[in-house]
Amino acid sequence: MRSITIAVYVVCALALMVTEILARATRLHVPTLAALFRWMLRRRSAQIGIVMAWWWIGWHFLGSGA
Amino acid sequence: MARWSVLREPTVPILLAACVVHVVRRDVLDFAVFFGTSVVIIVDSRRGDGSRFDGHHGDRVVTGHWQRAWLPLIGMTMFAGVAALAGSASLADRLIVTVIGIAALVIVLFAPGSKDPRRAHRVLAGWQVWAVIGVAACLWELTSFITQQIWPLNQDAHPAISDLVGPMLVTWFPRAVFLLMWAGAGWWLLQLLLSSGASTEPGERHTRFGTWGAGHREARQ
Repeated sequence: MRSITIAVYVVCALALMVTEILARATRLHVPTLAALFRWMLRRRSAQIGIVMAWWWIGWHFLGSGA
Repeated sequence: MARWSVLREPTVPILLAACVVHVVRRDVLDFAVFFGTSVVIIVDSRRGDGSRFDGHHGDRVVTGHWQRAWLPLIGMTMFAGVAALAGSASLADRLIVTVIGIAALVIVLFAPGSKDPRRAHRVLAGWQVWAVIGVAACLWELTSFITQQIWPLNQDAHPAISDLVGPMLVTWFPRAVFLLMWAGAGWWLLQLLLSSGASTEPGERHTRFGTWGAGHREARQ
């Protein structure tokens, strides 16, 4: 079961990479990750939330020793 | 009532949902961070209308930063290499991350707003593709977390991402790589944040009804 759990995480990570490649290399209507974030950051609430989420990842793994 | 429109945006509900998870985890600090961020967003929205069209940023577009990318890259590499020398969850680690967090909060709270009021209502074509993958990953993480709560003796079979990544960050090199990636992501976000106030970005496509997206390809051609 552990290997299945890890495999799903890996599939998600690969899917993110494939999506970015498709966005850059094809004419499909898929935005790049930068375009997606720039679009999300158009709102103040998202600006604060996304920056907090980024900071919390650092805190979670470095500050709290998760 | 218009100033409470921030509650109809997804950020605060997502943060409050995460608060529930932190209550179950019995992690007071993480709960305080997520709940406090929700409060900051609501208070900040009361200062304006949630989009803060202050008009100061104008048409400024941050350009050329990738040409100068090697300077911050060297800086972040040195930072990661030195900061990784501190032990896991050490006081130095906590101080470094806390100072960076306060600086990031100050930057985001004083970041310029958009000049174009239509921009807040634009739609990015194809965003759903990213959303499906992101939601799937979050649901899988949540599934692992819930499974751990139900069968605590069988945690190894359902690891969360923290359970997989955390043990790898004990030694210097993986910690330095993680720090470099984290600092790089922060720098990238900062660049996007400071350029997001521009009314016209390179590669944006404006249509009559405000659809915005997929124009980055035209910009490269």
